[in-house]
Amino acid sequence: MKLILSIFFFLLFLNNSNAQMIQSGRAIYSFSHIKDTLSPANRYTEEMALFFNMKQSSYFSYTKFYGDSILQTRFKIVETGGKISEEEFKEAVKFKMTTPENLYFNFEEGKFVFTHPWIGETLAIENKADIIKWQLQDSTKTIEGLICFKALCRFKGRNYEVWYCPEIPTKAGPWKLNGLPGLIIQANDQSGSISFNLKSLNYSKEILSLINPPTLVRQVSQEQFNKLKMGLLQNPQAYINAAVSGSSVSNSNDKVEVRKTDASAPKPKSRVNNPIELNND
Amino acid sequence: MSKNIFLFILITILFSCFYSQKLFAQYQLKGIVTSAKKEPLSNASVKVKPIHQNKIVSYSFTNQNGLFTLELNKQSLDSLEIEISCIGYQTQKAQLKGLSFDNILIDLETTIHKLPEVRVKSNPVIEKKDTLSYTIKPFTQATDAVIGDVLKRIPGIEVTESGVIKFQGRAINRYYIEGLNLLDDKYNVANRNIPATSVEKVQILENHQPIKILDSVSFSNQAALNLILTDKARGRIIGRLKLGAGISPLLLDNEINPMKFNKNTQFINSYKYNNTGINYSDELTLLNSSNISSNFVSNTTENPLLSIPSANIPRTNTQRFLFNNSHTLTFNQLYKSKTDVNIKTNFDFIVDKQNQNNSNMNTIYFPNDTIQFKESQALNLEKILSRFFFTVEKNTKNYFFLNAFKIQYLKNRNFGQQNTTLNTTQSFLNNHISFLNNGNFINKKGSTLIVGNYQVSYSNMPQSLSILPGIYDSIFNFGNVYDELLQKLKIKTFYAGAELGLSRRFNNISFQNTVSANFTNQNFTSNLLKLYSGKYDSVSYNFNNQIDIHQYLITNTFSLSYKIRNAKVSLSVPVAYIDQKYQYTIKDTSNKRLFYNYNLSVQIPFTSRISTYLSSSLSTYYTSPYFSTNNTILSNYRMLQNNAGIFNNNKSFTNSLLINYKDALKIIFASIGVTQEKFTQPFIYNNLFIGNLSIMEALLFNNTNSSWNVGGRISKYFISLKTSLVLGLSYKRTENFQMNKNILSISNVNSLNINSTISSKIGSMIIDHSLQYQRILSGINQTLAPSFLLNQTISNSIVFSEFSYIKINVEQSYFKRPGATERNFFFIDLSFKRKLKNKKIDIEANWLNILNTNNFETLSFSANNRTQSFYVLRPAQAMLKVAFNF
Repeated sequence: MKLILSIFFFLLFLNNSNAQMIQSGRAIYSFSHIKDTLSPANRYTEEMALFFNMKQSSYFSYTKFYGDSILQTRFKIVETGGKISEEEFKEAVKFKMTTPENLYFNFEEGKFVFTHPWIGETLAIENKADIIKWQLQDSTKTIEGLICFKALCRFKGRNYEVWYCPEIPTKAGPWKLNGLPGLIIQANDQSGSISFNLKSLNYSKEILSLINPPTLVRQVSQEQFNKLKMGLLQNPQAYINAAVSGSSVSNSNDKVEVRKTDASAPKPKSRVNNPIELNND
Repeated sequence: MSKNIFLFILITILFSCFYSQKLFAQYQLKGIVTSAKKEPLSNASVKVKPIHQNKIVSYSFTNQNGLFTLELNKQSLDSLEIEISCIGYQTQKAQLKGLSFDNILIDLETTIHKLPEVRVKSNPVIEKKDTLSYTIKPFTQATDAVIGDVLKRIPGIEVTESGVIKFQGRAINRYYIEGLNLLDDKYNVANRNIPATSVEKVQILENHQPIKILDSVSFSNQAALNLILTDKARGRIIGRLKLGAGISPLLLDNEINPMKFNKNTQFINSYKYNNTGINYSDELTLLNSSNISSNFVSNTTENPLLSIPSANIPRTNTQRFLFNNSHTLTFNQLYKSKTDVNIKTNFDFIVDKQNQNNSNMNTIYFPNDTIQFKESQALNLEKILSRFFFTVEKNTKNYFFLNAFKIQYLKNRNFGQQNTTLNTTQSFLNNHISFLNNGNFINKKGSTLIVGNYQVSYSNMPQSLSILPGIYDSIFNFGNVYDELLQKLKIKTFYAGAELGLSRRFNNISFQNTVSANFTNQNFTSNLLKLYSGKYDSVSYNFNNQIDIHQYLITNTFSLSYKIRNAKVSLSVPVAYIDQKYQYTIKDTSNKRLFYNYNLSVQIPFTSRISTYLSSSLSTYYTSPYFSTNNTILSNYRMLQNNAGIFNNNKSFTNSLLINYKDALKIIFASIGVTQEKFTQPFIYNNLFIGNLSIMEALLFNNTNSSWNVGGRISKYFISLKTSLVLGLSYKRTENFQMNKNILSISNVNSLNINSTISSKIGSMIIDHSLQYQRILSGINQTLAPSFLLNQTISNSIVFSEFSYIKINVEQSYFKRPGATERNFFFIDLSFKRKLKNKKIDIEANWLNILNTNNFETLSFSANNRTQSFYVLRPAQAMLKVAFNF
């Protein structure tokens, strides 16, 4: 009896110390991007989630992620005899394009993993994290009640102006913008094509599963991945036929984006001539 | 003096150097940050700021060991402080004055103080996880006319020849247009008529449960398709008008398809006429049963028991062999009221006339006999089908209700000249009228779902087969020559059924129990008459049937499905009780039986690349009651059939295992599967041949046909070659029993199939090559002889610009059967498509069968029969079609 009690208290103690260990944050950004400079009124917008703690961060589409939790809630409502209105049901079927790639940064090791769903599998590409040379500025601004400081940098061919808040002492930031002594609250590229704005921020104890990169992935190198993308663009029908013909029973929910740009095909209505990364400088 | 000045300058310079080092000193701050428990803290932010100010002068982060290095090049370090922050710990500041720069030791206390939060103001857009959406543009080629042409190219979607749309190998269960279900199972009308330019996006709703209320209760593994139209296409009448004309002889292919899609009303109307061999009436086929219950059986569909034999439909383009003259008309309307009630009316009308000119060489094997005969026929077939459906439906989150009233009239009139050892003129008439009213309702009580179905139907089917002059006079007229043999029959069926089910779901398990009861009253009469000396007389009472059947069937089905992570297991066990009462002219018989079936399926994904699917099922079912006739019927001019009053319950036992592999990096996809099936009937036909008249008498016998099928398929895409390759291999063994003159024998058909498809892009040309090779061993009692079949198609599309392309198609069909010369047929087709720049007009010109191949043969095998069919083909056709999109 005494042994059981002591084991119980030991486990309780262990549990408690675990509970203190990691405090993680969840920031939702509103991301906007002018993909085609020829139609600047057409801004692509999406809600992106950044989950972070001191050592790691993960960045992925929140629009896609939120759908799951809504579905769970709705199921609970119907289970207990509640009602869902026609509008709410219809809204769920509305189409929203999302970014399929996820970014997982590991600040300790100075590298990041980018995952991309690809015809039934998830591919993971590991890269060394670029160290951004930030120039800290003196100006301050209050955004959503947070005191933010300004910083400038040049990253992948664009000049970014960001506002960060040192009160939240994490290196993390949206997309690949990180390395400041505080969470990036707002980021804009000077040409106005790209912007990230923090919409919400809160904390929780067990988001570790969302911060760590997934394990059931296929590791590939950047060159291999580029080759795959080229292959799809050259002859999408044949590529996709090969993918579909070989499998008759499949239960994956993955999506493949196809944009044909060769001359023999009609020019697609939505073009991206203004990608986020312009070059590698 | 100068020495002094020099020394002074030197000292000044030295001093200034020394001093400037202090002035522009590069200070390096090093230190370690640990927690109060002396654990190193990594990635803590280390900032240097002026005291009591927020502006950051320099910053760095601690590494994995808690160490940091900061570079400073300011002189008044006294006014600076260092600030260390880490999430979960209290921020610490320390003035730089008085610190030893090489070894700054900072301990941070843990803190429970809350980090600042920002509350969200607006709701993000909700997206259902299971919806995939494809914008049409990247998949469309400018020369695509209707949405069906584009759907074929969307990843995961397959459109079969008959028009069934499948997603990832499973048929879709609904085809929505703007969220509304206008056409139900008749979705080919939309797929083959809605212009491709009117559709903006296609949504695939995976795991779709079309009945909203069932969403939380039952797992569906079928998907639904939803078309989202462009803004320009909504709210106004859109459609296509096509006019086509050609020669050899005068050919016409015309259609007009006006349609309109509003928020609350939709309609698709279509009229098509052609005599070029295209079978448009298959657009009106009811493609997919999306009914909740599959227990309903009633003969309200086409069902000819009598026929004029003719060759099987060959597996090639219908335009080669179908001589037709057909009109197809369809009206479909949907109206949605404010209270969420959908009212649909659908009306179809088909007039289809066909000519056939073909012959068969039939070889039937028995241990002591080989029966062989050739028959040729020139037939005129005429079919008139008219159908009207009226449906009322209410589909909300809390309950679902549907009532559909359907009425159908089908008339067949077939005339033909049949030449074998006898020359006869035959005519077949069928006038089938049927009514059906069925309904479904679903309601929720707490967390239990109640599902109910009902159906009432009536059908009257009189058929007759007339043969001139009278045949087999020795059997039917005591050896006297007579004028006509006439087989008449009539089936009247009344059916009423109802079903009630309960479903409930706990976490990952869903249960369902359904009870159904149905009643069938069927009246079957048949007479065989001869026309002799100017009047019709019954041939003999042995050739007349008069049966009255009452059948009750009660079934209880219990099913459960269990979902764990990505694996799914489903099991359903129906237990049934049947009570049949037959009243024949002389006697009465009855049959009462309790039986059960089961259906099990397991789907397990093992890794991200390999998944397996296992299924096993036992299915016992009774065919239509009228089957158990006890007197003979003349099914066609050479077949007399007597089912000896045997109650026909068939049993089918199937097991299958399928393994899938996919490697997205090497772009290899493969699947391998094995299926075993045993099909048992309680009788076997004992054949007795008199010339080529076959008298088939049913005998009680445990007639089991079994088959094994092993197959695999692998596909790969070669990036550097821009080519995809698909290879398939399968081997099938079937075994059947047959009986001739009381001697039983076993026949086997073993076939080995190899098929391949290569698709390659070379410059602006796309070349597709497909090949099917079969080696078939067939025969009786293990003496098997091989036949070889080969079909090849090569097609080459050359794209000139985004608006036009030319396509050339070469097809070869070859076979060789034992003891005969090989047969080889070639076809060449050419087609050209152009879309005019304003995108509203499509022009298509084609030239089919350039080589003017005017006859064709095929070979087919079934149990102990081998049939070689000969067809007269249409001559070469040249057509020009212009379509206007409005």
